[in-house]
Amino acid sequence: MDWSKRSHIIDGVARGLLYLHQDSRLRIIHRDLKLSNILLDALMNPKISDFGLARTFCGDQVEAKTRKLVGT
Amino acid sequence: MAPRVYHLAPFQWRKKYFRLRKEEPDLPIFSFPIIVKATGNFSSRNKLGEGGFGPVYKVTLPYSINMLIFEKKNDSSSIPNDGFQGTLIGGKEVAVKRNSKLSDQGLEEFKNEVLLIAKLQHRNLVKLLGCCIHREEKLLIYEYMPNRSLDYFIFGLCFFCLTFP
Repeated sequence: MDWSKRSHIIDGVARGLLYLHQDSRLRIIHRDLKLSNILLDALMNPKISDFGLARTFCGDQVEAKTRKLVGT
Repeated sequence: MAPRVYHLAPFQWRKKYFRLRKEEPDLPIFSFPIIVKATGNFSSRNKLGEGGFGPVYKVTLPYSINMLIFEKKNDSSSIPNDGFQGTLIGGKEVAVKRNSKLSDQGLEEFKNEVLLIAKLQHRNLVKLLGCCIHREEKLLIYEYMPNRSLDYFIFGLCFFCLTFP
């Protein structure tokens, strides 16, 4: 894998996260982002998956209580 | 003539599931027998891997599934064509994530995933094509990713893995 492909993947994951955090209608925190949750399509575009543990933040909420340990 | 829909799943869902459907009516709901048949009764030959949620299978959907989705969209009068926005998935390869856990947490995760991901669309997020609920079986149907996940590249399980020059 060459460096342009690597930076393409990094860029894609960052875009996906930015969309979740800022640009989508809901503010979503994924909470389980790891290598095995980043899938690659035929053109090596990265796609974030597994939203089972994700949480939504509403409005201008900036913090949340997390009592349970998850996703380890 | 309206297409015959003879493979609709029996509607034996719990109250929770009805609520789920109300909240997200646009997501296609697949029939369980079709998915079981397409996965070869969830045979390990079709297994792609194991997630936190449950095993993931690769499935090639039968063409007859188009009819089912079309019926659901209340548009059975016209003939399906390939230009119909991404709902015609018969013959396509998809990934099916299976969760047959009985726990409430499993149901909560399933619900969370359906409600969140169905509202989102971005080219760097995996697209959810539909879901399927049949008694304790909860399936999520995603687009198939041929290059697997990033950890196969990083940890060298893939034949053209990362090397540092």
